[in-house]
Amino acid sequence: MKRYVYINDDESSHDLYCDNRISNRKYTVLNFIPKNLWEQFSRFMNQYFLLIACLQLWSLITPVNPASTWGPLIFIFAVSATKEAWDDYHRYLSDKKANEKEVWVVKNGIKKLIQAQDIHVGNIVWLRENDEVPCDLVLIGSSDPQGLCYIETAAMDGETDLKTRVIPSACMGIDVELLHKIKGVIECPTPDKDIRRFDANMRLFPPFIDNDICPLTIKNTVLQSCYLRNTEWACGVAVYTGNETKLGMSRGIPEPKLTAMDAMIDKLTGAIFVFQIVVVMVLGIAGNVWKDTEAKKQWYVLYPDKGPWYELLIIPLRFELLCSIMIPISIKVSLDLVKGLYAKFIDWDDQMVDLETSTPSNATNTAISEDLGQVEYILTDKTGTLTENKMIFRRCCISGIFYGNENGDALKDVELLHAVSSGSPDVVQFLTIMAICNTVIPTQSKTGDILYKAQSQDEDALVQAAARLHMVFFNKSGNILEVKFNNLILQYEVLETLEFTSDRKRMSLVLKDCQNGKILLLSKGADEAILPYARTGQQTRNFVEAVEQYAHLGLRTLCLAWRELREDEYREWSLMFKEANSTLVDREWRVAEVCQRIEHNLEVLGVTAIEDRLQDGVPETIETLRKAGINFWMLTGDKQNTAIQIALSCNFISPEPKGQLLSIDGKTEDEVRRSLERVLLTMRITTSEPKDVAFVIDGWALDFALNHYRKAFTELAILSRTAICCRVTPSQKAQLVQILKSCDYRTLAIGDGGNDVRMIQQADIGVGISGREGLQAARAADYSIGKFRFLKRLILVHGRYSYNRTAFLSQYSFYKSLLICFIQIFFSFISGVSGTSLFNSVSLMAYNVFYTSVPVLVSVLDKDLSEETVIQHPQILFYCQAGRLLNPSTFAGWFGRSLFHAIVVFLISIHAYAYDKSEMEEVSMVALSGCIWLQAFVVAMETNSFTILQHLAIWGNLAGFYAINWIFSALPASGMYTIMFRLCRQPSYWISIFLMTAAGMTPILAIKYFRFTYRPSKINTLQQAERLGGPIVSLGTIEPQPRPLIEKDVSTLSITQPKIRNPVYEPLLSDSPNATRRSAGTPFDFFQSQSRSSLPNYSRNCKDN
Amino acid sequence: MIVRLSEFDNCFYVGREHKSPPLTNKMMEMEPQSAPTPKKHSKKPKYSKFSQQELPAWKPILTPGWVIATFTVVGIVFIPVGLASLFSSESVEEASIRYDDQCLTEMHSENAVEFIQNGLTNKTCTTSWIVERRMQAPIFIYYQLDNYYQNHRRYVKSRNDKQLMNPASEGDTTNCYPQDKTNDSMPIVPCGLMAWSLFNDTYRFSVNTNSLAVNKKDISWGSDRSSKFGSKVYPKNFQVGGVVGGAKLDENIPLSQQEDLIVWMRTAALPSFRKLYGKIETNLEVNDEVEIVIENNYNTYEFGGKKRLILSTSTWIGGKNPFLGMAYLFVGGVSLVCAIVFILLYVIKPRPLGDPSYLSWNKNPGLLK
Repeated sequence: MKRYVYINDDESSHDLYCDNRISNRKYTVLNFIPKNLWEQFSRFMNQYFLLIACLQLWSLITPVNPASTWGPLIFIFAVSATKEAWDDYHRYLSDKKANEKEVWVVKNGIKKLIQAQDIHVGNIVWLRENDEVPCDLVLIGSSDPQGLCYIETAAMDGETDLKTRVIPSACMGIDVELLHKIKGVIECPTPDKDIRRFDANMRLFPPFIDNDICPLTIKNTVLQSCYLRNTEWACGVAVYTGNETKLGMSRGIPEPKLTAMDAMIDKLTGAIFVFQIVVVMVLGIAGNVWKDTEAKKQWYVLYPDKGPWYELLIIPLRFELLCSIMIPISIKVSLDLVKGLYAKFIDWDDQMVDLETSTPSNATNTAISEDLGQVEYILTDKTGTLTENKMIFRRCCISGIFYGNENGDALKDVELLHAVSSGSPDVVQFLTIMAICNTVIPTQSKTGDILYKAQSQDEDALVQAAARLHMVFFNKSGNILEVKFNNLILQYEVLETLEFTSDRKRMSLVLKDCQNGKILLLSKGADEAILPYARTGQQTRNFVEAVEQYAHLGLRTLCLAWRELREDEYREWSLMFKEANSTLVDREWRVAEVCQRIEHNLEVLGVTAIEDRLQDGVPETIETLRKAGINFWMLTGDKQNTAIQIALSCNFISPEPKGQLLSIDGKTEDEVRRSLERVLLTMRITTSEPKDVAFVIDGWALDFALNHYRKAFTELAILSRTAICCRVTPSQKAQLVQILKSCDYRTLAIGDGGNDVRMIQQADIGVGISGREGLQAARAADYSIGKFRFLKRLILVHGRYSYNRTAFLSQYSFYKSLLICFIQIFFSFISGVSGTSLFNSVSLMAYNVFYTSVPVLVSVLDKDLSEETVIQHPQILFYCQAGRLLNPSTFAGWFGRSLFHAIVVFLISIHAYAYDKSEMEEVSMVALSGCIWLQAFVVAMETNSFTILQHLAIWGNLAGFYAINWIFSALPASGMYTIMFRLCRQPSYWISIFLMTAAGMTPILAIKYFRFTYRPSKINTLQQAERLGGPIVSLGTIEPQPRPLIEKDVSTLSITQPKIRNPVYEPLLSDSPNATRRSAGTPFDFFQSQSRSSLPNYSRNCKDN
Repeated sequence: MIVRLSEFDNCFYVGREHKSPPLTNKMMEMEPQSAPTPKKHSKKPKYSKFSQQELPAWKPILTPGWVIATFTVVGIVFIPVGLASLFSSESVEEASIRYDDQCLTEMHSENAVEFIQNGLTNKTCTTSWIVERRMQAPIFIYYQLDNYYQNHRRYVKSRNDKQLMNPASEGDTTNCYPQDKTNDSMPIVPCGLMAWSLFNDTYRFSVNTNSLAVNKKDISWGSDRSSKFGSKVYPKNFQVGGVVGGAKLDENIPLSQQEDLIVWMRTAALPSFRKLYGKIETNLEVNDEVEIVIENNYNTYEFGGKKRLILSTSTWIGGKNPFLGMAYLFVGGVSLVCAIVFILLYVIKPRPLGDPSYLSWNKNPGLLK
């Protein structure tokens, strides 16, 4: 399908294509309620609760007042709906802002200011400098006489340099006034999301150009969300508008993310559901049998001889309702609440505020904090994420003299300043090359400051540094460059520009010094591209040393060189160069060859060292997180060398011989395959060695690997703890995330630019750095932080605490629900299996809503270990990664605990309150009190640190229980009138309660103590060390072992996992450290909400081998 | 402690006028100097101990000292309490006379149900019992029913509390089906299965041929008489048509004075239960012969339930029930054993807490088992 865009035709295309209204909204006012309800009910839990609530309306079977389910249910729905509505409203507002932005558009031949949303396909849109492009345009005019304009595409691909765009040849030279009247047709493909391709044709109608078809490429377009820079004005024809722009097409609605923990909770809920069904069936059958045999004889029950047709269903349904509390309705509300608080803690964290820009961290996605604690892979962008993306000229070596070595800043080196002021010729020449051997465009702002527009950050840094050293490049008009040096204005005329290519790795300028008419060749480039061409006889050893020294410091080096050209030499060469430039076949190669002929015999002046400074604390952060068992992959759009250099300097990879870097490259499919196989083989062999093996791959090879050798590459991905992928596109980044995710790893993607957005959205957790490259990444991310080093705190502190807290909270929620449910089940055995509820409606509702939910909510303040201990011993994160605190085994522990407590409470209640005391309301309150006391002590025992809030919640709640019940006991209308007063006066009540507490808690205390002291987990050991003081210091001292050893240790720790990764779980009372969350064959995963397709060939177990 | 509390205040009332408590210098530095802005989304997070998760916390761990002390204390406290409970339970004098089988004559033993349902058979029976130990007044008379499901769902629900209390809601018989209305659709007061099946055996006592007064006042809960059963609600249409369940009620006595009914309608939680029948206000001496005349009216034969007559004294802990005492002794004993085991473990196999050698990460935690 093609679309035909008629330029400047106000009528034809209005109805065909959409207008430029952007809409990211999910709902409208009208469809909100049905759509939202539909979405909410697509969740199994909600369907379940609705079914229960509906069943409760049938008074024949309901054990309690229906309000006890309807109330919470409506509340839950209202809360989620409000949240959705709020989010959608914000999306609406931001859309509105974009839609109502005013732009200049030609209407009926006149330029008018209209709202962006009213742009139609075919309209001519005028942009001024620094305007945001409102829709995809084909350029037709620009203020530049050569038809160029500069755009910044950061929002789209994250690249901050300026890109040039050119108007199509057909439009070249059309007068500004005539542009209003231009007519024509553009034939272009239907909208797609490829931002690198635009294959279209344009034909202008007479009188402009007679029917010539002019081909268009992406070079002739400016796309939505780019900014026009450095160009006074430009105008273009809208070809794609609204949500049909290239950006709009690639936007897509990100899938809601589900944490591993949520998946596990869903799974456990499923297991409980199955258990519940089984219980209901058994009790239902038993009830019906009892009814038919026994109840018919119990004359006082007056069972009718013949019941309705559904008679057999009544008892099972009653039990279904009785047991419905097994799945706590409060768990979702509680989890939402605490997750919100985790997110707030991240927002509030003072230690994660970037002081430079005073941006606090922000958790946009409030639902996935637990996943932070379970991260296994971190995929990180390089520029702007690991580095500050701020190139700074740091050191240089001029004619063998090192500047900036003492203080690390050549600009402050007195010797250099002295050399500059004394006018040492080498230094001046060096500065001249720094200032003008580039493609930088200086512009003067209104205040007179000189701003540089550079395509490369390195060039920018050099020009800036030269300016600081009094060599100010202040004007470029046409081919004339003007430089001010110590108030002396120097002019140069550019004769030729020998452009930078990645093969040549250098660029040169041929220029004429206007002062003395000499023709000069100035070159700068990578050491390997400059030093071999040094003039014969020049000693380059100094420079080689300098380059090595700088590279070792992680600095980016460039060698500067020059040579004077003879007039005739230049003239001769210039002819060849022109000829090469106009060849049609292999032009690049020819040009390079010609350039080579002049770039030799160079006088090497020196080496510059530019620092793309690593952000503070990056190596430490990477090291700490490595120790925590997290693997790092670096995905960058940058060059391989730079990537490796940065990787070395931030501990990402170790230099030889500790580390080994394997490279996968190749230009053809076959080469790539062979290379991949070789690397894979090496990787397999070296897994047993204590060596950091990493592989490096570039985008080209990656393309083959991903498309043709996915299986092999996946295996490599599993084997490799470290990888560097360079020159990768945003979509490849996303694909890599996808591969790791498909192997069932928890991935975290961190980046700062628009090119990281897709990876961030794809990963389980996306972290954006609110940095220089704008906020696209931060906006798309689940978390935005100011600096990379905050990642450590985000994962180790917030992630870990969140995981631990949710693990406790969710299992506890099940524990307390099961506890009361078991008592109901036991009671049914002594009430003729008829489905009588021991507890009244008030108690049942209040049990879930007040008595048990408040104390557990303060568990969000619990800290098992202090933050410092965790940071010191990041290995402890292993417990979270492996899901040791929430898995079927620990859950079985809690299940057993609730069963045990239910037995204790039930037996003591019915035996202590037997015979003459056997009054239903009293027994019910005794049992309930027992539950409340036990749960208070359970929370207290599982709490590791008691703040005043915990004390208030746990013991206050216990007091609150009595207060509430006294109030109800004072109401004559309530069923439990006077009950609580009577009970509290009875010694036997208190004796029973203390008995239940002691009988329920002492075994748990004994087991917990035994495990804590004699079978301590690492967490326990650290707790002991931390609380008792002293040894923690000595721990710190044994920690700095040689790194590879630690790496090995961590991996050994995981290698042995296959032994324990079997579906047989130890039934333990709680927190079993020996189980993992990946249960290969749990019988209960039948409604796991997220089915993960993992490659069956690769068991996870080999991940660390 | 004052400092902590005020800290805690601050974290909850962010945005309220900030009353700076007397803090140490260090804390002053941490507190924001300006009054907290009520703005919700200030750029920089406000420092508070709560938001930084730095509230002062007590972090206990299970040190041997604490745990052993806890077990010892539990043991030391529970054993005496258990002994006391047991002794007081033992000091209760209790006589239990099963009469449902005794009162069945040979003639009717085959067809007990027919016997009990037949209004014409003589259901009076006499039994006697010799007091073994002295019983101090008041002596409580209970009747005990076994295998009787007052807690059956149909039964529990089958009553209407409004009707029982309020004369105006006489017609309100919701939940009472099938004992809600008579055949001619007149509301039954009190309605429902529970009232309908009211226990109707009666007992007369005589000691050494002197008749013994049974006090049937105040056998029910005062609160029930005042707030659950109306003093202006009179039985109506009760036990008139169809099948007669249990006892009939005097239509001239308001429900609030029908104490047998009130006692009966306090549902029992267990299928075996005792309900207070009356009190004997005189002491029974050793070797007193108590003769009991039982009107054996209530039908338990149909479902094989047992009927017992219980005479019992009472102490601070209630009637005779050794369960609590035994349980206390058991728990206390186990605690002491635990304490001793842990002490022995501690002595024989001491394990320094927080020993860094348990921390080396190359040990597989799974193998530590």
